[in-house]
Amino acid sequence: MTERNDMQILVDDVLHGRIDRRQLVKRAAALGIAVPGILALRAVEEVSAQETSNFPIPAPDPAAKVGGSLRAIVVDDPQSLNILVTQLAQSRNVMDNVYDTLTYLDAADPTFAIKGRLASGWVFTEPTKLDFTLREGVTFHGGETFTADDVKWTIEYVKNPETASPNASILAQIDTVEVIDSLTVRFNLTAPWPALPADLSTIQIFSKSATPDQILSQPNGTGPFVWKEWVPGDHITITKNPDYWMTGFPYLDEIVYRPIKEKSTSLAVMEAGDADVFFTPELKDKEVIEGNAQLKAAVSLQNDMGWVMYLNNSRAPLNDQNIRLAVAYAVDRRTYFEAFQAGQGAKNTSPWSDKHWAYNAINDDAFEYDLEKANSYLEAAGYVDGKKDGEQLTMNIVFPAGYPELKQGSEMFQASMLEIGVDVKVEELELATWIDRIVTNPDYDLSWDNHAQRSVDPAWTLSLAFFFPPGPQNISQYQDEEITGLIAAGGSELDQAKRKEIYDRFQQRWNDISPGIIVGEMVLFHCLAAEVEGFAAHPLYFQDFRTVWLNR
Amino acid sequence: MASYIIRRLMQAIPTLFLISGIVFLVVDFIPGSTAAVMLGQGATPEKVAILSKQLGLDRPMPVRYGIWLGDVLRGDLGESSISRQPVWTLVGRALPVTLYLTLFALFIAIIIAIPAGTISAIKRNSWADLLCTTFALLGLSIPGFWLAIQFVYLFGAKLQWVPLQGYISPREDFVESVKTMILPALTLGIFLAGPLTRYLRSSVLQTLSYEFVLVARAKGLSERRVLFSHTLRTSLIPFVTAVGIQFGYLLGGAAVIETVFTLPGVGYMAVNAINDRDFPVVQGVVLVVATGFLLINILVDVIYSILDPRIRVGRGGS
Repeated sequence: MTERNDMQILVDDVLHGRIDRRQLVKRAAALGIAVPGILALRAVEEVSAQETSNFPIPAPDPAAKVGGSLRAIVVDDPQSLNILVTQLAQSRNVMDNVYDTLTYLDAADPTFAIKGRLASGWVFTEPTKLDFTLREGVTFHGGETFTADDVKWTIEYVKNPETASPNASILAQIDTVEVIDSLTVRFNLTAPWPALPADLSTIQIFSKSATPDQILSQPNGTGPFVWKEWVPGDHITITKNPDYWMTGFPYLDEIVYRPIKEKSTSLAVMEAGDADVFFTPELKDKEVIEGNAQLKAAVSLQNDMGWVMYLNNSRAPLNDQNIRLAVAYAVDRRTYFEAFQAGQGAKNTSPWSDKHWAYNAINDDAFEYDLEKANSYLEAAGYVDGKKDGEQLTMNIVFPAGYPELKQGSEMFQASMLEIGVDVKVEELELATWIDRIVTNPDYDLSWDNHAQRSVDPAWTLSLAFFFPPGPQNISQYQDEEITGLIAAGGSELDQAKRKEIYDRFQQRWNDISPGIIVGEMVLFHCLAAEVEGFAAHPLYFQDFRTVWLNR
Repeated sequence: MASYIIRRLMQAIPTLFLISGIVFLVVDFIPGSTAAVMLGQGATPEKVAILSKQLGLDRPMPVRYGIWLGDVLRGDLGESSISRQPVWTLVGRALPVTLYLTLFALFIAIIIAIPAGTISAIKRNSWADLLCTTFALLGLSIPGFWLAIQFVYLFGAKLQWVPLQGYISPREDFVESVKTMILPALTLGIFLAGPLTRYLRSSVLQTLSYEFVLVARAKGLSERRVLFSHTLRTSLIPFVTAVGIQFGYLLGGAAVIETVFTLPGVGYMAVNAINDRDFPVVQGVVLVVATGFLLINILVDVIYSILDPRIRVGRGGS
């Protein structure tokens, strides 16, 4: 009998109460593992029992009308066609329909469940071994058959430092990828990581025969749509994959994406009936859209995105915890959402939605706007009326252009800080300069950004650059051993009650030292023509058009 | 005349070198890089360095300029760092759009400016003069992007008189292309009509003071004939020069209008390329637009000399 079978038998005996504790300790010792390891494996088995469910190929909706060309407005052309390198929404909106992923977040499911796409199922055979069963009969648009080798190639491509993929950090727990057979692939992990199936929902699978030039100019995926053409500044066209493995899908013949920078123009185009989808209109236009019989708003089923402010912990003044806490109390979160987000969204200082199991109730009233408290922290830092030893306390706040609400929020923050004697310079930067100032050559004190994944597995949430890891990928550049230890512990703990304790402690610690400002959660919605059916707003902009059809 | 044209063309070459060099230098100094734009918030210095090396952007600026110049002399403008499409293809696609827009806009501007400027001059200090001058001032003062957005909303969304589908080539469907281009051309045309109206007004006023006009009246010619056969014809000479110069500016200056109406012209392409730090496209656009501007200036000088026999270009001329 193999060791795996002896262990499995032992676990089964424990699960079914066939042995007492003394027998458990004796048999576990014989296998060379401690009892907690057995119990962890038992937890994995319990988890695995859920996650080995079969994900059958969905059946097409008999009511759906087949055919038609969908016209979608995006805010800009993609900055790259390599979806594994770029993270911008305009690339995701397009490329997620040319490629498939092993798993996907079902945006039509209120729980945002992770389900199988190219994978029909998965199982943790051990806490650090995750096996995926792949679907048969899948081909790339170029004709190659999809196999486990393509999965291995893709993961290794992402993890290769020469690829410079930002996704490498979310796959850090993968040690090696093993091809068991053509339709079975095993991920060997450095530590248990139950969030891996969720992480893989953002990793598009490339063909192992992909070349750098082909990736950047003629994308070749297994997805429902085939790359046709890109006329920069005018349109991108993708056409129906007639051999798509999800029989009966997609319904549409093609999708034509048009980049329109001005949101007012985009709304006018929608009102004129010259487009079918407009991604992320301004929040103030939601009522206008909902009041127009020709249009409708597709709202994400959960508020997965939120607004944050990076604080540059690597330099003065925000390397001082007291200054950071002063700033945290000087941000009027409730007014920000009321005044500048058209009342959509809400203050929330937790990384998670208040309906999420990991949410800590200390955030119900944490960091309520309080200039007196802010001032007391300034005084603790040695500043009186914004001055220390004759030096005026100054800081800058930066944000990318194209977000008027960020400008308004920054100016509101500037006014608040002025009341307690602090000079804040507001800087609106064009995108490339903003990226340079916050990441590549950091030169900022505060910066707005949005963060996502507020509704998913907490380990996934905390893998974002706002929270983790320490080092260049962490934009705020904070260094706190307790926080990084809690993130690691929460990610590898399999017992949900214990994870809850860990994440409660994480939120307490985060609020205590305030390495970054969590402002609140935002409403994500898109504008659709009334005839568009089957559309579910994806929280991470991996917009799925497989199930979309035109009722005309 | 031929030798004049050749001499002007030869003079244009060092000018183009200088322009391309300055633009290369300026764009290189702007913070951010193509690699950083691609990576977004994942643009750590290490990843930017790796991607920059793959894009050939890690070499010193003079080396990159030298390579680019060598390619240009071989007729190769390189390829876009973002879309990987040849710059010639991108510019070749965008230039007709801008030409179409600017010619259409100039046409509108001229049909407004000629009557407005003339009436304004011959009925100086009257209500008609005040109206035309005010209109000219408004055209100059109102921000083009604001006017564009109002037109889009009113004529496109609310009244639905024109489609808002971006660009349709006149070769594909002439009527539809006019419909899609009328709003942007009108926006730009109104903006252009302002200075052209004022320019023609001044020119007509000046011409009306010349002796030959007095002589024409003294000969008993009708006021209509004095105006159309003598005054206007002479006044239009500097007006044509002004139109030519405006056309040159428009080639690169229609970026705002192209952006609001999402017309894939050279202006819109240049704005996107600068935002994306797509250096080969920026350089390509600048080179093409600068060449066009210089050629138009030469053409204007030649036309001027044809219209006014007193002006001779080339040997012994100005």
